[in-house]
Formats: sequence, structure tokens, C-alpha cells
Amino acid sequence: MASPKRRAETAPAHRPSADAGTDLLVIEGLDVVYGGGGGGGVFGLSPRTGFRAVAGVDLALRRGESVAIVGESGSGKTSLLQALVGLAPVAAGRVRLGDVELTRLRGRDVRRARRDMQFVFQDPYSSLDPSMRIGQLLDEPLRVHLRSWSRAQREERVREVIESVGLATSVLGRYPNEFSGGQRQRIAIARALTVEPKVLLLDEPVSALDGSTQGQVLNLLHDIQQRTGVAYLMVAHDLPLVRLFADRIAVMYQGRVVESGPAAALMAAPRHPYTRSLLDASPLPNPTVQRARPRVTLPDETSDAPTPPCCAFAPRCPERFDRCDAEAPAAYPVGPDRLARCFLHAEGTDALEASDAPHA
Amino acid sequence: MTPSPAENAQPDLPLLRTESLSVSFVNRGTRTAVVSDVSFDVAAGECLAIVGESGSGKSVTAKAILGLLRGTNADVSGRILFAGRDLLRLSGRALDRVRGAEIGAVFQEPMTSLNPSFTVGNQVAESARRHLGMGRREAWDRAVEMLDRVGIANARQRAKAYPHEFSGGMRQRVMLAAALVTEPRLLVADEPTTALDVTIQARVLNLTRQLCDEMGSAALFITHDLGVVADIADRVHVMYAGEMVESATVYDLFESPRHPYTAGLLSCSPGLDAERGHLPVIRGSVPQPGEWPDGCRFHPRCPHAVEVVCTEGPVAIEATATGSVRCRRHAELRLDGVQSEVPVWAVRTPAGGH
Repeated sequence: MASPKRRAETAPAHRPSADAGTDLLVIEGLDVVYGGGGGGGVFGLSPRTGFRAVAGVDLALRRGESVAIVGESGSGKTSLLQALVGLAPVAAGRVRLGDVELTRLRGRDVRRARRDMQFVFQDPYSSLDPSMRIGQLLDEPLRVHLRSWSRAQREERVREVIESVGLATSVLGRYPNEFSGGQRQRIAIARALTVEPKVLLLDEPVSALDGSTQGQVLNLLHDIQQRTGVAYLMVAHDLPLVRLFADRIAVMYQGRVVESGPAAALMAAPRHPYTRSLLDASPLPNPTVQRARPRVTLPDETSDAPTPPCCAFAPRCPERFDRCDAEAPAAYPVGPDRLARCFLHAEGTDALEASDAPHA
Repeated sequence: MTPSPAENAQPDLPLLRTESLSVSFVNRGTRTAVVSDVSFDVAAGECLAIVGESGSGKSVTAKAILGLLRGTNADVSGRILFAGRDLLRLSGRALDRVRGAEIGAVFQEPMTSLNPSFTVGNQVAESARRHLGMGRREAWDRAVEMLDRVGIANARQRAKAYPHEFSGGMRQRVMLAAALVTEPRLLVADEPTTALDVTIQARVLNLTRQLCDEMGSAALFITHDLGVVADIADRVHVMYAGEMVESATVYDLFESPRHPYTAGLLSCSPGLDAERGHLPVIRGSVPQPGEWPDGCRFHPRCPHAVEVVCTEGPVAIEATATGSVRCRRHAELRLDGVQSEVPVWAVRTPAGGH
């Protein structure tokens, strides 16, 4: 690893293009279980099994890439993101960042590795300590991760970063409550960027913002990525929005990735019925078109979980057939770099495809 | 329920009319205006959407109509005429009779709007008992029927459940059932689907429209989401910094916006196509109450603002051929509406297709 000082000096330059395309962050078979192991059972769950919020997720993030994890509440998307930085209990699986296997680290090594992966929270109103000045907020991660730096070095870095998110250095002496939501989210992003992470984990970074300012923050993230080569792993619930941000999309349902692939291809022709349902339910801001769209609504999520083995989405799925109740689908390839966890795409079942629906 | 004209003191009045509705909050002698001079009509059976971002005053407008600002530090002026009666002049008791029986309300947070210590059936039945004078048993049957209509499966059993046993989407449908059980003439819904997942939002929107159609109720829908507006509204009012800046039918508003703020909001909609890294934005941010600029309140962010014309003096709202707009340059501006092409994600391809 390069010395902290050298990394800072080379920060504004483009990363070598040879880096592009290699996997930077690799997640394999990740399980997040709440309430498992020791302690009593909560909310009626048996203390031994707990609640499996993330179930065997595989995901890879390349250098300089943006991947979005999309799902509804309870899909496990936020737990997945939190597990990467130790904010949710990992029960199984491996997480590798560069050459370092994070799931095996202990003590000081954990802190060193975390420098490379910084988190931006959803709500910029609660994620910034209201009693700290912006300058102090941005200085804090440097003090934690770059202890050898002098005060002057840190101050220089803080000024550089605040300007890189489009704010003037004069804001450094002010407090968070003096800023609008969009400005606060810029500050939160700046704070995450001070230590030059390789990966930024973004939890719904624009959903607390006004529509007219969401684009400002997404454009800023894009600019920063062009400049520094940082990779983004973003969690969001709004598919039409994330396609304006992500290279690849992973759709989660009840702890599993049910479909993944390049953003454009996935949006143009989703392969999992759940992805299709999400798009059908997203209202299009055009009354003429919106009112002509078919109104397809999913049944309620049943309170009693389907008995495994079966597809978790089967009880709500418009395409459900016998096999869906009998076994759990694997992730089947459905195109270049695309996977769908649905029996419609298991070998030999292509004949079941609906032929009456129009193609794009 | 179709309102009979005889109930209206002045039959030529719409169901709901606000006249110069203004709200300011008074805090330690300091007065901050949050809604200025808002006037609009809602006709019987119509769905009017009020669209705005945070700080636009849209929710405060809804609260004022529902009388929820009484007993707070809010100073409400103007007139709110509902079926000919000025709600601002009604006694608390008289307002209680109107609210619930004739006006139903649904709010953003279904968890905090329901009482956790009563069954959901009880809470829907309570409306029927209080406002329709039904007996216990009759009200319960009515509640079960209503829960069934909002799509709660196995309603007779589920009516005995408590709110925490329901998901967010089910709770919001319980709220809708409680609001509509009296077949009110007006439903006021303040961001009713914002906290819901899109698949559940679609259900709640479908239901709201369907129930309003069946009962002939009018709806006042407060939202920040233009997709929701496109789905449900007949007419739209756009609010910015406490003022109405544009009013039009839903089709006119999306196809040919007259106010630069409306056009800006439309272009920022994430559902529409845009180039990555160059997403359309409105520069700056929404000014908070107390920080509204002189002249047109939108001028510091407006790409069409010119000195003096836009920067001095209050701007009046003017009638146009299709609605009204608060912009001194509206006659000379040609603003873009939404494109007619359908973004690729909204074209339905079968999930099983290749």
C-alpha cells in the first residue's frame, strides 16, 4: 500500500486504465442474521435461528464502477451494505476488498481496511453531528485514519475536498444546520472522500432530497468518479432513478439477489417477474402514457413466509407455476453478464414464455 | 354519496374553495409566513393535486383545511369554504362533525396515524359510529366491509388484528378505509404513498381512484411526486415558496407548462430519459420560509429571470387560456413539457422473454 502522503498527492489524477475491469470488491455467499446465536429470542423468533436478512449474496464491484442494489423495504439491501462496514452481523460468507479479506480481519487491520471503504448515509439531517463545524467534521476521518499527518496537511486536504464537492472553503467554519439538504449531502460525501477511499457505500443518497436537487448530487457523484476512479455501491428503492446512475443493477427480494445485470439491458428487458413488477408499478411522469399503461398490482406479501424449499417470490408472482412451490431457483444466466433467479430461465423451460405480450 | 345541491347555502360554489388562504407561524414575537394568499377550488368528484417540494407550504395548506393548526402557534387567515360553510369560522364541535363525516383524511405515516392499542376494525368502526350514528355491531360490519373493499384479504378475521401486525401498505389501506367509511364528500390525502414501496403505492393509488369514482368523492392530493400526479390527478396546482405558481389540467401542465419552475420540475423527474452525469437540475435549492427573495420567489433559480422584471415587487397570478400562472414573462416564454416518447423501462416486455 502506498504511503498516505503519496496517495494524497496523486489523488486528482486518473487511475491507471489497467485497473478498469478488475474486481475491487467481491462479496461471496454473504449472510446477515439478526438475533441468531446467543441471547434470547426477540419478536417471537427462536434464539437459535434468528432472522436471515441477507441470504447468500454474491456481488462484485469493479474499479471505477457504479453498482446499485435495488429493492423494497425488507429486501435486505441496507443490511447488506451495513454488513460491509461492520454495522450488521455477518453470519457467513466472505468479503474481499482488493487483496484483503475483510471478514478475517481483527483489531487495527479492520480500521486500516475501512479507510478504503467509506459510508454515506441516507439522511444528511441526522448523519452530521450538529455540534461540530463542517471543518471539524471533515477533519475527523483524517485524524482517525491518517495519524501521521500534520495539522497543515489535514487542513489542506479538507479545503481541497470541500471545493471538490462544489462548496466554498468559507463553509468550513459553519454548522450543519446552516445548510439545505442537498448541501448537507455534499458535505457528507466530502467527509467520506477525505481519506480517499476506493469504494463509497451510498445508502439512498438522494431519497431525502428535493426532486430539483437530486440531480445535482448524482451529477456530483458522477464527476467525482470520473476524476478519482472511486467505485460506488449504492442502495436505492427507485429503479427509474438508479438507471441514471448505475453501470450495473442488482435487484434484491427477501435477502437474495433475484436479478442482476448491466443497467441498460436490465431496464429494457427485465427477466425476473419481480423486476418487471417494480417497473410496472413505478409511475411515469406523463399522464397520457401513464394512464394507458396496464395496471398490474401484486398481491400482499403474506405474513406467513412460504415454506422452503420454494421461490420466495412465488406467493406474489404472476408467472408462478408448479416448480416454483417445490424448489428454490438458482441464479440462471439470461444474457451477457446477466443472471435471474427464476425458473422461467432454467434450461428447457423457455417454451413457457408468454408469447402474447408485445416486445419492445 | 352525491351531494344534493340543497345542502349548499350557495349552489354556485364548488365543494371546496380557499380564498386568500395565508398561514404564518408566530414564534417569540417573530412572524414567519409559510403560505401566502392561496386560492383554489375543488369541484365535487374531482381529484386536485397540490405539488411542491419541501418548504412549499403544501402540507401546511392541507393542515389548515383540516383545522389541524387550531391551538398551535399558527395564524391562519382568509376563507376555507366547504359546501358553503367557512371552516375557519366553525366552532371546534361543528368542525369535528364536518371532519370525519364529510371530510376524510389520510397522512404520510400510517404507523403514527393509527392507535396501537385498538384493533384496526375498531378504528375503522369508530368513524362509522361517531359520524354515521351506527350501533356497535352495525359499525363493525361496516368496518369489515370497508376493509374488504380496500383489499385486506380475509377482512373479518384481520379486523381483529392490531396495527403492529400489519405491514406499512396494509396500515395505509386501513387509514384509507377509516377515512372513506363515512363516504366523505372530500378526501384530503397528504403524501399518502410516500412511505410505501412502489408495488404497494400502485395498489393504494388504484384504490383511491376507484373508491372516489364509486362514491363520487372529491380528493385533494398533496404530493411531491410527479409520477403520482400523472397517475391520479384531474387538475394540478404547483406550489413554490408558499405560493401557487401554476394551475392547469394535468394534461396541459405536463404537455405545456407555463411556469419555469413547473418546467424545471418536469425535466428533473427521474422517470424520464436523461444523460448520466448530466441530469437536469434546477440550480440552487428551495428557500425556506423567512428566506423568500423579493420579486418572483423563484427568480434566483430561474434560467429565464431578467433584472427588474423578475426581481422587483410581488408577482400576481394571471389567468391564461388553460389555467393560471405567476410569472411576468409567461407570455413570451416557450417552455418544454414532457417528451411524448415512452422511456424503455415503461414498455412492457414479458419477464420470461429473450
